[in-house]
Amino acid sequence: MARVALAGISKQYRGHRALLPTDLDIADGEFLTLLGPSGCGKTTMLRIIAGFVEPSAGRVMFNGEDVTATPPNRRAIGMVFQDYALFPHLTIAENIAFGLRERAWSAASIRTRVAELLDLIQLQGIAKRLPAELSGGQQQRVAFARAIAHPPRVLLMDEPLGALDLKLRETMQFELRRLQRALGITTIYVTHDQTEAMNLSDRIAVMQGGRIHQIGAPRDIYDHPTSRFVAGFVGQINLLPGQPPHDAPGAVRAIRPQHLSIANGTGVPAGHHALPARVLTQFFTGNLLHIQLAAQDSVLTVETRPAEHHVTDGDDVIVHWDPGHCLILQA
Amino acid sequence: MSRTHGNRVFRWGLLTIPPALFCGGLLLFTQLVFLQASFHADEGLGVMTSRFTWANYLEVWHDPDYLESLGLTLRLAGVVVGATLIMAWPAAYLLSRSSPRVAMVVVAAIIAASFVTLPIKTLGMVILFSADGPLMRLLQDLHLISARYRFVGSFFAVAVGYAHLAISFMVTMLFSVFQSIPRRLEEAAAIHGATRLRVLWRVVLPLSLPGTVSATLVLFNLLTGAFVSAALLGGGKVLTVSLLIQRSLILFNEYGMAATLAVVLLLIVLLVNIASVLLVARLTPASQVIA
Repeated sequence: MARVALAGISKQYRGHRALLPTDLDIADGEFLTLLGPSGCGKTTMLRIIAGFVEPSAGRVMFNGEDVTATPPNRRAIGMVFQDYALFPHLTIAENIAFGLRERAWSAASIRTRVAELLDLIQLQGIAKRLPAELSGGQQQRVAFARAIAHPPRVLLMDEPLGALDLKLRETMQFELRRLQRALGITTIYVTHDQTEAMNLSDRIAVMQGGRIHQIGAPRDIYDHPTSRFVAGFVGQINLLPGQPPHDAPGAVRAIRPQHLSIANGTGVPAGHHALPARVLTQFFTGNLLHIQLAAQDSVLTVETRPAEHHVTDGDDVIVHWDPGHCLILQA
Repeated sequence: MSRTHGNRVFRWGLLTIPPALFCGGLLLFTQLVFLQASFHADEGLGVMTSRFTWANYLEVWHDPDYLESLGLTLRLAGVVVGATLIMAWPAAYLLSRSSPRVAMVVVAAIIAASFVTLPIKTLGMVILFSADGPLMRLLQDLHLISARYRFVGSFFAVAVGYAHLAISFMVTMLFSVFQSIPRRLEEAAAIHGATRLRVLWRVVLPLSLPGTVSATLVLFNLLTGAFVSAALLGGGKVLTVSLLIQRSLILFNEYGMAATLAVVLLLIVLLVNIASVLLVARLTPASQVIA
């Protein structure tokens, strides 16, 4: 187990700046997610921590020890790859035991450890099979077992659930969280899926354009986003029409869809701000209803329970909100 | 649903019949001509008896010259393929792991070089290696070889000629073998504790084994029948089976004996191939053979 610290890490590829100088501290046992769209630098950062990519500047520290020049095989890391990268010519048991054999464990202790890990991932009885004979979800668990076998100081995961279908992805999220909690391994997780990041992480670092925009607990990031990018990437956001706040030039007022309400013949509560709007269209998702409105020159989305509002496309309505829910976002 | 799919595949499959007939037919027909001719004794001047006989095969079996030539042919092909494999394997691996631009330029250069026909390349080597050629002169002046040393006409000279032909084939074939091994697997091995050498030993080597064996067999087969290098660089002193066949045909007009030698060589090469494929199949997990 280890604390991980990145000090002024950056990476340039032939003039292209993949990662701007970045500092990041990850506590022992923490689950940190690097969240962002493709090309935001999250994978570069993960590969620098793994040792596959040499940073252009800066240092990588594990427990205060500088590992910047240490090759990947001596960093004591475990890693789960997006396509699992299981060795196709080795059985499941041999795959899980790969790192143990490299560390010259005795045959007996390897057997015990592999059995223990197969129990942990609840896949007893497949030890002698080959990866190609397993389903995607099973391969994912095996890749996880291989990564935590030795056990590592740091666990890296590069979009490990990306190749699974939605239902399985949800199940595996809780499974991963349970295992990570139980083992207490410092974990750095890369994804572009904000729901996954919210479900799994102690902290999320939202990245774009080679830098970290904001870092914090999922709740923090959602409730207090500081920029338009973060607000839009983690959840949905409405930009409100009107003047920017006078104390923050260049900033915009914004509000989450669930904080907007529609007054359809009913009154607007005291203290709420209100705007006339016209219903454009509605999306029904089961437990929620999303209503799109045109208000002045903006399009606003209202998220509500289906029973609360009955509007028809083209209706003229009043949209209103509690100004206490407004967010001030930097552009 | 799956039946219509199957039918469609079957109808497109018909398109493979013409090339299969063309290639297979030509191969089978010529081999049958050889096979048939090998069972008739030569009477001289290109005339063969009409009687069926094993005489040619018995002669090959009992004549030490023929057996020696067979041994020489297999030894030459084996030594050269082995040496080529040792040289080409690391080169092809590094090439497959270098930047795509570098790899493209090198592979293009290798392919472009193969456009020069073999006799031209071999003649170039004969000039370079001849006793009064530039290389041998230099070595004589440096007192590294005696003035009486003749490179052309030696086993080694033919081997060098063969290797020159073989190495570019081997590199390009192994290059595509290594390219089919995802780099992710090497990263996975490295991150879980394997050194560079251990990554090669535990991941790259086993995954490249089937491809490496087939590349080796392709070249072995090619070299057992190679003619130009043996004829030119061997200087008439390194008598491979292909040279004996040529002599039997052109010099002695012994068509029956030429056919017999061709059949014997074909059978031996076929046995080597079958044995190798069986051996690899035993070493490789079933799923990988299918893949």
